[in-house]
Amino acid sequence: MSTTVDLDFHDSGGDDVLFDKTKSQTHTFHNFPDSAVDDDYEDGGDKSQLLKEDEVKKSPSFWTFEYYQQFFDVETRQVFHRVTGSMLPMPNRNYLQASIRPNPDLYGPFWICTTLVFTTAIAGNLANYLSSGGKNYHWRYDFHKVTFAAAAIFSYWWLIPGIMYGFLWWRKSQAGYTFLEILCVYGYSLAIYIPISILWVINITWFKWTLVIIGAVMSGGVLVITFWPAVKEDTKNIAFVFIGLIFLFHLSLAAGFVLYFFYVPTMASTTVPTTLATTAKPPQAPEKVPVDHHRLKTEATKVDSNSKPHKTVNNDGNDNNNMDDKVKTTSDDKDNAKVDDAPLDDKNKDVTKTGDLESKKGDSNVGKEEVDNANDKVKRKAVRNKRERQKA
Amino acid sequence: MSDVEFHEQSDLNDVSLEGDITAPGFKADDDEFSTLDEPVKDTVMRDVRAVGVKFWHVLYPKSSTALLREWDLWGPLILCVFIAMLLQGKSDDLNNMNDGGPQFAEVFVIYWVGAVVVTLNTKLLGGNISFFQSVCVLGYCVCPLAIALIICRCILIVDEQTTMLFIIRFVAVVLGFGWSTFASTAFLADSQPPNRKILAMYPIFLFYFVISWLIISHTHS
Repeated sequence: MSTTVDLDFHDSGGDDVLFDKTKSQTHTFHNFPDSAVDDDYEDGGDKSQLLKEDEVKKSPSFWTFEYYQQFFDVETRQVFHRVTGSMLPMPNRNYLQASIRPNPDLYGPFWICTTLVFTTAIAGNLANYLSSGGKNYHWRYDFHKVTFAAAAIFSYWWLIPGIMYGFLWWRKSQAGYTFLEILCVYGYSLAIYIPISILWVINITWFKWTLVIIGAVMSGGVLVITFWPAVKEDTKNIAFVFIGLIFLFHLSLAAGFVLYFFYVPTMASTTVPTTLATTAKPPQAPEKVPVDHHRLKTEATKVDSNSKPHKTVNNDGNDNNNMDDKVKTTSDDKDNAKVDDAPLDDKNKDVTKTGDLESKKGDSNVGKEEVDNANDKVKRKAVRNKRERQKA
Repeated sequence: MSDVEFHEQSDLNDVSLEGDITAPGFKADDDEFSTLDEPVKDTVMRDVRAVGVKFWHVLYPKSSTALLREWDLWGPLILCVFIAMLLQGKSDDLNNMNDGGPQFAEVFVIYWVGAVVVTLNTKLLGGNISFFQSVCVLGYCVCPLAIALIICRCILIVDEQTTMLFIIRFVAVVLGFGWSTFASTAFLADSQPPNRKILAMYPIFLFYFVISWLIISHTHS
């Protein structure tokens, strides 16, 4: 017999499988490389952080669409609730905390402002039309009231909260109002003016001014109650001035609307259409209502600041923001509002751009004189001026 | 060793290595659909027919998806240009008169910017409709208002404008407004969750309201 090596081939399984442990080498690994498989066990199985991350969503970047979607996260009944809350001041309830927090939105304010722009422009045109009923010339509607209304309302909605936020930040107010919340409150506070602007069509002077007062008091009241906690730790003077200014701006906005869009002169024939003078020029009596602008338009030649030649009739030349002068004009408005027989005095409030009350009072007298003169010479000058204009 | 089969070498040469990539069962189109090969009239008529079908769907709104599936902006453009041309105010520079109406560009801007803003609003509220689909629907649904404008314009041909004629114009515009709003809600309402439907519909209502106001206020001299 030859000495053959017993190779010992076996099938797998079975009893005769022999594993020779002594000859094998086992190599145990200690150094595990980083691999995804082992991640679960690396930090000792602490999964609590995972849940927390899911709840706190990372706020999306400014440039994505989702960033803006978070401002529109409201439901219908929430919007209704906020609108009604902005109109009813309740001393023991802070509107901001009750209705707006925790998610301020921009849907309500934006659409309220847009609606207000259109209702003001439309109602203004309607009031205009109704006041000219029966006359035998063509009444034409003024589409450009829309652009002016839009500029005024949107700047009010953004500028005042901006100033207020800056002021609160400067005074280190502890109330913690974010800019978005202030924007939201201000936007909703304009909601009351929408039905009021429709009611302003009714051409009864005391009724219009009553509506102004009601609107300003109600939504101004909500604003005041909302912002009082922000300044109550401050010095008394600053706090009262701040609150007073809030109310005053709100009132001026309403008064400005009435005077610009809804003013109807009691004597149509005495109105003189002029374009608005710039600050350097002496103020003329601007006409608010394009009632007789066919016949009287020629008077516009007296004022040569025709920077916008296609807008001869209204105060559309007054494209600068009226807001700057709102504070100073309100006192003048209130004075003039009591004077019923001189409708043109009220209009002078729009004229001056300087914040100088004295010069304005002086100017108003001058304006009145000029208006009287103009009234006397209207028909005589009409033809002459038309010729001059065609030459120019 | 069981399952390996060996072929003879010659068998391999008989297997065809050619064929179509298209899956069996579909007809293989030889010529790709190319508008370069067809007469211009066919190309134009296809688009005209598509636009016409959409107008038809707007005028007889049943909740169909024809407007949404294949949107196009031809219809809105035609309507916008038409309305802006009719509504633009006359501006007579010589006498420095204007009739207070909007300029062509203003109507154009109101129309398109309005449609875009309303669409953005719908999307921000979480609607599941694409941007252009929504602009397309909003644009097409102005068609009833355009018809109302034509009626108004015809009425205004009469020299002597009485109150009765004004009432007829007013009624025509109100009907157009209602029709437009109804048609657009038929198409767009389903894209919003129910707790936000009114929030999404209100801007559409406002958009058509503003266009209606422009139409009713238009009294050309």
